[in-house]
Amino acid sequence: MKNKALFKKSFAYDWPLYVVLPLVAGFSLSYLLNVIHQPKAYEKLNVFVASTKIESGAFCKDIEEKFHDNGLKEVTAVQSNPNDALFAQKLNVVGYEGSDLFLLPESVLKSINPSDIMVPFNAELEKNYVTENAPVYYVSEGDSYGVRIKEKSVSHWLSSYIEFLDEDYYLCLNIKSKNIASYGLYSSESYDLALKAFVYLQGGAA
Amino acid sequence: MIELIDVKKESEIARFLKQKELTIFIVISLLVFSGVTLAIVFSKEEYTLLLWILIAVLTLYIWGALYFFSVPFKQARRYDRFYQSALNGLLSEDTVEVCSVIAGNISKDGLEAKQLVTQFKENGKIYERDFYLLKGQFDLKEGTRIKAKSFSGVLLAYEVVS
Repeated sequence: MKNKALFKKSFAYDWPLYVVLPLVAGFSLSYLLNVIHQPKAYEKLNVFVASTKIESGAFCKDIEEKFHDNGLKEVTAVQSNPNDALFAQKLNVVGYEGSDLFLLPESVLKSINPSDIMVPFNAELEKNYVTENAPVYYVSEGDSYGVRIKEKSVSHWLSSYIEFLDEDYYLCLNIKSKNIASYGLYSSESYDLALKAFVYLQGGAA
Repeated sequence: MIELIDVKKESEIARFLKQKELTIFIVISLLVFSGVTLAIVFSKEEYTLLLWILIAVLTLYIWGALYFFSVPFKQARRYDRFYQSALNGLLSEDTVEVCSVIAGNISKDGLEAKQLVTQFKENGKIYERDFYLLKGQFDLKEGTRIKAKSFSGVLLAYEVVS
């Protein structure tokens, strides 16, 4: 029997392998490359927004485009309505564990203990990253944890993306973020994308 | 006795061929996997084209591997297994009368062979006995009586009796 005949005979039994194995290899390769090129913790930002609605795609794209040259590869936003029953849980689980920045109304800040999760502002942070001339901070137990970026009943440049509640809104930094240089729990001097975005979100220009 | 197959020599050749084919396959596999690994490790962020190239390379490799294991290597392994068995197994010797050699090749346990039809007499009755010819020339006339040395039906050597 020649090789061709042998091949024909074996192919009649094995043809599913000729189809399935390349598919499995293709999917595995795609998965591997996807995992390898996933943005690192210091290359992505997550913003937790307490509002009724958000144009998430446009909002994230705006920030991403702004800091793309600084190495920002992915921006995600988590929106939750403070009036929802699950808001507190979402803030606890998704916000505290995965967000770099919080955009929260005053009522929410009053209902939580910011010292557990938010970066207390020191003079250096205020000097370098707060853009307002006369900033208003959210103060709890003598420490400032957020800077007011939107006054009640006053429009803000982010209003084009976010449907804010009719309250004062504060921008806060998550102490667990890996993008806040050495201000958080992780000392990573060169990774400061959250701080850059913090400045940008205050006034629309970094 | 005319030797059709030198079992010792053939078993060495078969073993060498099998190992050579396997070595070539392992070397090619190592090259392919090293290449793919390096391509993945040093891939750039825009990897769509690379992904398609790697899928094409791996597809060719998989098809090649399937072909290799189902045809050439399978054959080499069968020959090796047969000759190893023949080397260590019990050989039988029978005196038979040549009837014919059937034209065309047939498969004997996956090995390409020709069929030699013979017959022998026992207790006044005539029985047919088939042998397989893996190698060598066999051009005896019908009716020739031979002493056949065989293993598992494969004729290894013969001696013309009359």
